[in-house]
Order: sequence, then C-alpha cells, then structure tokens
Amino acid sequence: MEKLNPGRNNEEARMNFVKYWAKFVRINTDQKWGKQHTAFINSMMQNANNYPFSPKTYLELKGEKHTR
Amino acid sequence: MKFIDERTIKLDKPLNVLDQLVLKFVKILEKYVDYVIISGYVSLLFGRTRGTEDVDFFIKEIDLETLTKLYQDLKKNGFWCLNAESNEEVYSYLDESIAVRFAEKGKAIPNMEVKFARKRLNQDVFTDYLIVETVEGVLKISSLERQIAFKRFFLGSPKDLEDAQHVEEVFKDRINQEKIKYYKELIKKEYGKT
Repeated sequence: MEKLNPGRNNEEARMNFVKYWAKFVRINTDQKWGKQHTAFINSMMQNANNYPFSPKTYLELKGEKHTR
Repeated sequence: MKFIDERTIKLDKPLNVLDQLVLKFVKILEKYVDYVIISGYVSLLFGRTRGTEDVDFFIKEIDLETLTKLYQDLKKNGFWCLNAESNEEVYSYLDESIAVRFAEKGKAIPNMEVKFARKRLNQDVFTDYLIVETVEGVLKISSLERQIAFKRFFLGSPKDLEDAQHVEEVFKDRINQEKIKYYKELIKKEYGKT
C-alpha cells in the first residue's frame, strides 16, 4: 500500500487517514482488517465503562427528554 | 466482505462487542417489528475506526400492545429503557416521534436509539435496505447510497463526512453515484437542505 499522506491541517489529515484505512479494508480479507478493528472497537467500548453515566445524567447531557 | 446478490453482503470479520450487542438486540426486536439500522453504525460495521455511543434504528409503527411485548422481552433479556420505565411512557415517546434508547441494564452507553420511521423519506428505508450476513447473525441496514447521501448532505459534520467517505471508499466498485444524487435531491425537497 502507498504511504499515508499527512495532510495540511487536522481536517485533511483525518480524511486522508479515513481514505487510507478504507482502502486497507477494501483490499484485504475481513479477517485481516477485522482483527485490528475488533481490538480497536472493543477497547473503545471498554473505555466507555469507565464513564458509568446514569440514564438521567446521560440524557440530560444530550438534552433529551426522560421521565426516569 | 462481498455482495452475494444485489441485496446481500456477506461479512466474515470477527465480531466486536458492539456487533454482538446489536445482534442480541435485533434478535429480540425483529420478533415484534420490522427494523432498519441507519447512520454511524453502518460505517462501523464495515470497518470505520471511531467510537460511538449509540446505534440508530428506524422501526415501522407498532401499537402499544406490541410495544409492551417487545419491551417486556427486552427487559427479560437484560435491557432497560433509558428514557422511561412504564410501557405507556415508552410508547408515548415513540408516538410523539421522539427516539427511545435501550441499553444493557445498569449502563447508558452503548445504547440502541429507536424511532418510528414516519417521514416519507424515512419510510423508504424499508424498501431499499441491505442484508448483512455476519458470522453470528443477520442485520438489516440502510442502502449504502442513502447512507452516504444523508451523512454528506443532511448531517454534514466532520464525523459524518468521514463516515460517508469510508463507506464510499470501501464499496468503491459498487456505489451508484446516480442514486446518491437522487437521494440528495430528495433530501433537498423534504428538508430544504444541501
């Protein structure tokens, strides 16, 4: 695969990475990209457990209606 | 991943904990109502590397009796509703076109955000959906072109533009650009955006 272009600013750098990774997904097997992706998502979900919001707090942070 | 027919994608990736939770939720949901998954999770399912706190669902309209059965089944299987406790309250949110969120009991994140599809454009997700066959079950998702158009021309935040780019690049050889233009026009007509 070609090298990842750094980008002239944060927005462009982020989009360059999105394109780079999406190409990796497209040209490799589900098993190959999926292994890395699963480790990433699982760690994000594990991290979410470190912020145990109550439903009330979570919905109020989002500005959503609740009656709990 | 590969299309095995016009409407079905076979996905052989190892599932992550979010995928497993979505499949658990869907196996209960689909017993009571037709659904389609929309928005960010569609990108994540196909490899987008970002976190998310929710998974968005459109469901067809159901009555209180059906919602009660669904909600009882969800509770029996370890879910709770973040917005309200009683069947009537949960139903009243949906009936007022307000999304309700279900999560594993004791947690708020990640959650399944469920809403009645009422606008004409939203109801159409039930005609042009795709089926994704994962290694542990089947999911119904919005069409890729619809996903790209809504992310790019309706939502439009940097995160949404990246989600759209990811899907477009991954399915480069399958995306119908004319369909994206078609949805762009529909979005403009219904929401006055783009």
